[in-house]
Amino acid sequence: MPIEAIAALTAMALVAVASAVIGSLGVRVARSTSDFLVASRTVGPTANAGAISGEYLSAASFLGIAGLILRDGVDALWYPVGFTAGYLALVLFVAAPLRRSGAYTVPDFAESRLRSRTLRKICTVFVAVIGWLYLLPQLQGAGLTLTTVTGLPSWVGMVASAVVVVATVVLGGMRSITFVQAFQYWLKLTAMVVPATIAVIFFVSDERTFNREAPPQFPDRTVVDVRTDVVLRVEESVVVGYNGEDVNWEPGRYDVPAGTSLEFAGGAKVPVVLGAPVQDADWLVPYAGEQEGGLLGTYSLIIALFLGTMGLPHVLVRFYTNPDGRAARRTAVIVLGMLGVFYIAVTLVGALSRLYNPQLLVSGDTDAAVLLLPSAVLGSGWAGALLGALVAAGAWAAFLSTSSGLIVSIAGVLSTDVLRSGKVRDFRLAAVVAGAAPLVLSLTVTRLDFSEAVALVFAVAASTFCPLLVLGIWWRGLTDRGAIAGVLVGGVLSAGAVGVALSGQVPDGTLSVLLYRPALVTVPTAFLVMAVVSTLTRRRQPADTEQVMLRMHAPERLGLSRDRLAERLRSTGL
Amino acid sequence: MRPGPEDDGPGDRYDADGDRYGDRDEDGADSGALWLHEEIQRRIAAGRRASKGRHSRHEVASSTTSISYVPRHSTATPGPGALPPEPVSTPARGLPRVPAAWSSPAPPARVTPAEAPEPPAAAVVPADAPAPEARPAPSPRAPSPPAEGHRRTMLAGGVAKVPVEEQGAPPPYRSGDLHGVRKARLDAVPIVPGDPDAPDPDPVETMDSRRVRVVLSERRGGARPVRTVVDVQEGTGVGELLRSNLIGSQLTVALRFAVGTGLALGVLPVLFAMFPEIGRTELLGLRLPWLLLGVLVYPFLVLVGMWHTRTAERVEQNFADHVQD
Repeated sequence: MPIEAIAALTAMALVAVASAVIGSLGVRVARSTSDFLVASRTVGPTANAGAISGEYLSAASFLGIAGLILRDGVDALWYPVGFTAGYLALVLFVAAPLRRSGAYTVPDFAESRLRSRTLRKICTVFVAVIGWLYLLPQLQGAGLTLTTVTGLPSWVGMVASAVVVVATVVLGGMRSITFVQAFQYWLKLTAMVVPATIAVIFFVSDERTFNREAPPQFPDRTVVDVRTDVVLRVEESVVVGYNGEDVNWEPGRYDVPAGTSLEFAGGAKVPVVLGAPVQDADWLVPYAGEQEGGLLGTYSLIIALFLGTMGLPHVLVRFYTNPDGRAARRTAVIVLGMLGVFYIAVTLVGALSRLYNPQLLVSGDTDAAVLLLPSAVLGSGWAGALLGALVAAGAWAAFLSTSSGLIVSIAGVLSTDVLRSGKVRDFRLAAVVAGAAPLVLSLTVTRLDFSEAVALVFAVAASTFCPLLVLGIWWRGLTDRGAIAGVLVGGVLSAGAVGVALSGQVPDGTLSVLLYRPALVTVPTAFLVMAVVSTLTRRRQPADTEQVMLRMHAPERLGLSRDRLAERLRSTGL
Repeated sequence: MRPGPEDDGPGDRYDADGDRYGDRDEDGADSGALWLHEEIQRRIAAGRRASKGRHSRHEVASSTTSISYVPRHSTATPGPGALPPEPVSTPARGLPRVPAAWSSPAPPARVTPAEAPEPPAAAVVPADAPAPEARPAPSPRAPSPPAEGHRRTMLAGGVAKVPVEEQGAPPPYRSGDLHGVRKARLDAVPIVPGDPDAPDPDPVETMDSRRVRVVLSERRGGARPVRTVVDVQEGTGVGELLRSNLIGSQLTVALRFAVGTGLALGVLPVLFAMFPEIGRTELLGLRLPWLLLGVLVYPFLVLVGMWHTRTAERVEQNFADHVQD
């Protein structure tokens, strides 16, 4: 095993150990169910913002975005912008009222607002669906990281990350998770800013530029192992060592099956996977590539990301841990800042990867860009190994934190709504279930680009919980029937699109854009169905709508707030 | 449910603050309403101050009714150096029973005579006074701007040392000069502000008058809200109006910000597609789309978020003021 691999493995092990230690320290303060589920609502805005950012910056953010920028250029910048802007939507419409509602999960919010146990159950199902879909790319990301840095098979990484995460959650619950995740945010930020800075220094001193009417070039002699089938586009003829045999590729399209080894000489023009801009100059400007969708896809993506953030269960559960509505708002604003700093660094890494890691454009494995940048910039000496270890640690932290947040929220919902006891022991059992299900999935399903997989989940969240929360908080006319209809329609449409997209049986044309990015259709449909059905069933408005609405919007100092978790625990005698 | 008092470490500062919102005592509402009116008059006279600090103080008390309530504050607040309040003709009438309000929810174990505030001495900020850093930190001693400065001071749990006279205290507290009487009593009876069973020696007098007033105003947020709050809660007349006004204006604010931001960001893809030359324009050494989407959009979003938070908090505060007036 080469030195880089050992360094990276050590760093990843250290992250896991540090997380477990911080988590187990947290156990000392986690004694009640309230601690486990909502950290007893005593987390201050800055700590909470660190935890939210740590939890939110997933494999998609840490690896996926840089890879998309490497491939698609400026068009991919909508991903980080959307991920961040989602928090603004959360500040504007949801943060403070949701915290003041006194509910402690989305299903609980649904029930407290609309007095419907059926709706509560449906929401429980969707929390699990969204959480599990979101866990998929996290576990696969762990597998990819391990494969990239050590060459071990990817299932090892998936299983290892699932075990570590479930163990952390089972031992510590929400309260310790808060500290673990705040720690992981800063680790991830460091692991992104340091390589970005170093790469920028090299870039400036190299006096290289992106503004060339040519494809990127290989800096050195490079061997590319193609792991999945790709279609490459060649614009200038290039000599390729195809499985050891020299072939001259004229401009055109080339199908390369998985398992092929391609060898390029230093300075050779890089063939690019089909659909991405080939020339550097095109890569610099918007809508130059042959991407499917163009404007339509961009807008659908913006809607999904902007509105989907507020529907993510692991993000929402964090806002319940705020002490009050005002702190909830402030937390979200701090998160905006923290995400911004991180994504600027990601953008730099992604753009510079085009110079230093062009071979990823051939293999299509662009998600590995961040992981490979250190050795590409610094070479394979100790400096490169050290930086590579830091980045691997950051990537590992990204899966651990997002996965543990997701598992906490899924387990919270399962233990309170399915097991119905709210006991700590059941929470632990639920956590194991919450981790096992996606692990099985991740070992069987084919991998999409992380950011695209995550964008699909955002679309489901935006089509189900976003309308429920927004209308529930702001419109007194919402009824249980309307909410059920809206959530089901939005959920089935978007999850169906996700299923088709994941299965790989996607037809061409506009339909394919809408299958990969269904939000443009499903979100307005869900809102519409919810509003129309609610209007038709106007008489089913709960009698206490006015009080509930007031409680959500009145500042705490009027003393109207309630804590539904406390009430529930009291009623179950805990 | 609550792990226990010892779990309430220094990190749990919201608990420490929240406890100011104690449950109210029996006749708290009546005397509170009466007193409330006077307080409002005084405040109006003193001039409305910047809303932020005040709001922040109040809002912290989310946990009033929650399980995390630990009335540590009840013992911490009355700082050792607190000046006695201005004279009150009788301890019972016209003044709400603050001490009882403070003490009623206190688990006896936490309140020991040792924690009782010392009778008048030099004004010092108690070392253990919870100092909520998350909010605009009030300077415990800054007396200006007069009325607000004092309010904040007390709310922060520090000891306000400025004599009431300096801030033009309202008449209600001056109905007679019982200074001597009170001091005598103070000397005679060890006052335990947190003890529900204390023989009511008018513990109000162990704190300075400003502190008293604030506590009263916050008591409005307890289990028995003043009449307007009840109105609002039950949807009668004025209350209904206030409530829909609150939700309506908050929604307007949120929508305005959302539409503004949505337009600012949403117009970009169309512009980029329609005018490809934008993509070739360089500014500050970067292509315009990269500069906009890669860098500038983040400070923009943070600023919008901060701006909205301020606006929404102002709306909330206006609502609370209306309700409580």
